Amino acid sequence: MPGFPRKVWFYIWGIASFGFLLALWQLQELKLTSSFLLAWLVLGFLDLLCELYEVRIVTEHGASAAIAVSTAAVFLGGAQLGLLVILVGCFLAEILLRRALFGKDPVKFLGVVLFNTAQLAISVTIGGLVFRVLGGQPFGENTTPLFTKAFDFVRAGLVFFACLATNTAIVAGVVHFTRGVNYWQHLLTILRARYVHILSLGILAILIAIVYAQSPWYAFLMLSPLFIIQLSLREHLKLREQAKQAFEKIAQIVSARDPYTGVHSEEVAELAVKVAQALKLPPEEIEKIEAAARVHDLGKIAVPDAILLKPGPLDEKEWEIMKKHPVVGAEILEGLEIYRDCVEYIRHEHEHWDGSGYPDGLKGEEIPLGARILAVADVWHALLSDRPYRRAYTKEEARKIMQDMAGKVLDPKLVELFLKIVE
Amino acid sequence: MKWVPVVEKANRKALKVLGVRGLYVLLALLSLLVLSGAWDKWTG
Repeated sequence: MPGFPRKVWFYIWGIASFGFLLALWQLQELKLTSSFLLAWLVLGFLDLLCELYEVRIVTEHGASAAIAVSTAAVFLGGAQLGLLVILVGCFLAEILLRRALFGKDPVKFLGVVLFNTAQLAISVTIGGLVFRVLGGQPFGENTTPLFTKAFDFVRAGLVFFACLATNTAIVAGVVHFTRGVNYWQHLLTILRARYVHILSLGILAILIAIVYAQSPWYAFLMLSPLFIIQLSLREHLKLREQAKQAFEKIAQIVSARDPYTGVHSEEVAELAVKVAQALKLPPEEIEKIEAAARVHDLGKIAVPDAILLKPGPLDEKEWEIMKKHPVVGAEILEGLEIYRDCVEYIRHEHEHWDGSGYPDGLKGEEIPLGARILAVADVWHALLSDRPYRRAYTKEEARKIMQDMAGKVLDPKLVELFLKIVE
Repeated sequence: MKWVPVVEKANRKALKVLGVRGLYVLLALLSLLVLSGAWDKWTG
């Protein structure tokens, strides 16, 4: 099959088939009453609207508020209603959202649409089973009003958790197979990225069920909080991206004083990403390394032109000023959430493997891996570029210099890997 | 949570053969088929 390795396709079709079988099992004794049909239509439509308003949170993961609607469907009508809502909302939304993929790779398109529908079908079925086991009464059989006892809320929380945990675990699995990332580490990153979002959606799921029980049409009133929650997530991600772009622009402007550093940051970022990918680091870690590489010279804002552009070697005093730039860069960026996790890479990029570097004299594996990767990419690019005080080295000369630096300045294993990559 | 894979390769041939509109027609036909079957089943 095109696009993915065989094991990924096994996983995708395995989940798709399992979801399909579960849906068949749950729906074989479906009795369509008019109230059930109305719930299907109203909640299916709400689910579809929420699904269409999807945002990409981390690599290969999209999030929407739809899980609140499908879980509310489970509270109201057990796994059967949850499944029907997914089959309408998720399936249609998937076709519309992934239509661009259809033109490029129809098999992959089909795989993604069926996988996403099936994984949510599995999630609501498991949620429905938890609902049943904990004494929840599905639609039609429900003779008492919803959420009258404290335990009703506990059950609702557990059902939501079951739906969400299954859903997240299956999606993290496919990214684990496609990207070769560490499963548990990746799962943690996803949950960290949206735990507030998740908590709000859990509460909203309960509210949708309560409001629906008052009157089905009141459920449409819930569109407002659903969109507000989704909008806040979207705006939060947009602001992060804009802040990142703004700082990259500032870093470029700072670098423009020295024509070499302008393209340098871009190219160092490209090289660092290649090394990080070769090390099979998680996508989020690769993103951090790339973000750090793009602004790693920002601290040169504190270095005067007379030092930065000096055509000869620096004296001791000038060198002291130059040595401050990683600290300044890290200090500028440490207040920003987007750089919080990678500010260490910028601070320690000039540490040496033998401990003779600056600013903190770290050595060996005390230096964060991201900083060691940046250092290797940075040195290679610097060697191949003309500087105010020397001409660019040839690739062969640069290779020899890098080999000499291995174990003294640079991480020897990374140098070995890097030289293979640039070959 | 959904899986949103990165689009890497383009398969232009498939686009020419069927096209995105073709997909909609196909899905509409499939939906009609499923709905008519469901109608028959549930209305007896």
